[in-house]
Amino acid sequence: MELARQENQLSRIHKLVFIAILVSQALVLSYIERLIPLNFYIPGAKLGLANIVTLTSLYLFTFRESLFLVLLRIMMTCFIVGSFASFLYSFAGGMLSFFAMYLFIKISSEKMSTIGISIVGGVFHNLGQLLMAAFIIKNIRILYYLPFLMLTGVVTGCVVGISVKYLLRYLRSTNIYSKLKR
Amino acid sequence: MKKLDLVLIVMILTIAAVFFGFNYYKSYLVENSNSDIWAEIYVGGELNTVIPLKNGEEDYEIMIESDDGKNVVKVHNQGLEVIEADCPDHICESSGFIDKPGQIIVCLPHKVVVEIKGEAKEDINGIS
Repeated sequence: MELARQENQLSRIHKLVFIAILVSQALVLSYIERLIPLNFYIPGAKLGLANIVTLTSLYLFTFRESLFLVLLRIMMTCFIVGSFASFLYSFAGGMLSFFAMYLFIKISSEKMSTIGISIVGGVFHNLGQLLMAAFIIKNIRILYYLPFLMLTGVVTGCVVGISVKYLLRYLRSTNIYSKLKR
Repeated sequence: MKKLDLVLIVMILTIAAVFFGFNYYKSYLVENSNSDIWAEIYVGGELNTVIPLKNGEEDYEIMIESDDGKNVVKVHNQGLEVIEADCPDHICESSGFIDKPGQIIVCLPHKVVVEIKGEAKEDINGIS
């Protein structure tokens, strides 16, 4: 009885530490992304490397745990490199893409790979950001950029999806995974 | 990559292509109907300035001032571009020159939207 309780607690600590590591990795990825001088000449277009962490967490953790991780990541990123305006954009995009990806993983039930899910995430992230932007500047015409962002979303979604595929394969071969799934 | 991934990619590309085609068709109609083309500049959702583009022979610059900062718009060759802005990201400057109806330039930090508009005359008599 006592042993089982301790085991359970240990597993929770494992999870907590792993979530903390993932959040800090997302922060580093956001920072690296800012260092890459990639300009698509479209507001909102970016690589979205932090989505690697979000998508990985969706495959490893429960819904509530991943949601907690995403919220933590968005807040921490904005405290460190962003402003209040960038928080609103990241929040709208991050939440919409999170729920869309969760839904698609549930619906497609293994018939769609990480690449497809990550493309869904990328496109919905852009959609969320554009809607927030339309709300802030009170001008719906900004949705003109949506088709452009859908194209960049497909390309960056592929990059992120392939990264997640290899990351998950690696994690499953380590003992971290078995400890998390206990 | 699974089959459903490809289906998804094709779907997204199709939707984007429909958007592009629709925009292209609209600007094509306007360009071939010899109608007016003008630019509307919005600040925070409200119409700030209207610039006629068809008959403007001379190049000139106008300053759009808002509560958040200022953007300098240069009008030339029946189109326009943002050449200067005191915002942090300068995406509006890198957007470049626009002259086709439907095209827009956005400065998010200043809530400025520049849109080119045109009235397409429904001239179907010649075809039918």
